Amino acid sequence: MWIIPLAITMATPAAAAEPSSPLSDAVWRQLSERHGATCEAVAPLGEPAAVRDALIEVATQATMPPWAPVNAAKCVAQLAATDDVALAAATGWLGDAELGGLALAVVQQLSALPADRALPLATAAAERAATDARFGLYARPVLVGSVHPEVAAIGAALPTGLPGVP
Amino acid sequence: MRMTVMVLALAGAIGCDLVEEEEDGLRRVSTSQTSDAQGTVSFTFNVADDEDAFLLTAEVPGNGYAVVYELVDPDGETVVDAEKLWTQVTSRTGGVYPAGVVSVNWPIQASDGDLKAGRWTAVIRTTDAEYYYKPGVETAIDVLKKTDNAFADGGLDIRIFYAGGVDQDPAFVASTEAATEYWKEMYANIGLEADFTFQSWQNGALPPPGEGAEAEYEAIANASSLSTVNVVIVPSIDGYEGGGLYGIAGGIPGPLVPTGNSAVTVDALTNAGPDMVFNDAELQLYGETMAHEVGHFIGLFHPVETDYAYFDAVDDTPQCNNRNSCEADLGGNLMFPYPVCTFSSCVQQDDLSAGQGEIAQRYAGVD
Repeated sequence: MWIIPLAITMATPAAAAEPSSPLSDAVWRQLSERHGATCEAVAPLGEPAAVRDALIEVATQATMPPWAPVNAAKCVAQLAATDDVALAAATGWLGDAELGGLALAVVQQLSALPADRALPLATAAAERAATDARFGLYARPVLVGSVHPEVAAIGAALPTGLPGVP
Repeated sequence: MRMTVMVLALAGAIGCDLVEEEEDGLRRVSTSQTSDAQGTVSFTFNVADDEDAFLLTAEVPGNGYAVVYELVDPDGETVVDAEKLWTQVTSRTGGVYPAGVVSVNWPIQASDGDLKAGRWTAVIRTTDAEYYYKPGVETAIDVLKKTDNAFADGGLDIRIFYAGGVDQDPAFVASTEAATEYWKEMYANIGLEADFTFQSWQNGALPPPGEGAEAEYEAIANASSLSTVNVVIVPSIDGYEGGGLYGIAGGIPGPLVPTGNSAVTVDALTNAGPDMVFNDAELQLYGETMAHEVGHFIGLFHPVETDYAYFDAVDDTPQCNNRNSCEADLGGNLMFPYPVCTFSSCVQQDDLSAGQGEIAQRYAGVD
């Protein structure tokens, strides 16, 4: 009897061993430093679309040091202000159960986005918080403190604390 | 907080009163003086025969800055000369660079010799935000003196503050405590026994030390003893959501007296990685991050900066001049400026040299 393997879409791609390009390597190295690497420092490394793709690669393929993918996600979320590819990536992380750290990185950038771009991301964050209490613990205060009143209202409607934790 | 007033109203150099107290095993001399027309505060203080190291801290209010411009020993030798240190490629103390709160620990390392007893003079210069010397600035000065010459071994009290809801997250609390076990091992290699206590702190919206939450950091420092180094674990360092900051120390060295810089702040979420769950490798790195930042706080610089042109002043951390050679020579050192990683793994950075240990052991908070 033949067993036909099913195509499985991995929620979290396996970490790549190395960056796929010199640009990805440069972005990853910038975001790997302990002090001082910022999205502003990454932006001049290449053409905007290429830098965006490199940031998405670092966010989804790198796992070490742990702050490199998290901060790449923050930079991608900032780009979501005007970039639809970045917005789609950020939206995807909010819905990925395995990527709570990237999802929170997106939430932390919502005040830097225009309200019309922030609102759907905030809605996605609230949906995740309904089933991921630990995510909600950290997302709620960020949403509540948003500069966008609609986002703050979404945050205020979320429960506080973790279930079962005094 | 234990406090015993020993001597009151010792005469200062320019007629201001110095108050000396004993607090948490440290002898504390405090004064507040106004800088003169040249933006200078000069004061003297006594070091007794049984005192082995001191931590001098100067603090100015608002958006002003101070530098420890000169430190002159009882023989008249200028042992810290900011003008000279500004031109060097090796870093000895952060106290010579303008900041709202500046500290110098003396002696810095073994080659400085024993602390000389007698009358010391410190010259503080006050500046505006553009580093022009500024007169008439009220400057709070504290000197903490320790009586412990056992520089081969010592203990350091560290208080971990869980802020911004981290204490409600059992996973983060457990991970932080596990990471401190790695940290203990690293410091033990230089004869430093780290002793941890843990405390919850309600407010979590904190910028880095010295950057806008002075009252909050002072309150945190007041919640622990004077000789304790405070580490504040926050979900995210406020104002740095755009990347770039996973942990930061309030100075090199950092102040022990309560000021807006009297802490190390660590960003918990970025250290937990893309899934927000610490695996073993991330726990090791989390421990290294906390130990690295507290390493700064107790006086350690990066052995080489990321431009590969500036170095610490430690003899046994070799100087190197490019990424490959620096990673080869120093990549395993706890104070290296970045972890040496592939996309999916990092080398352990748990080495501290004997020379780095000399500096750590002389920090006033190490007993």
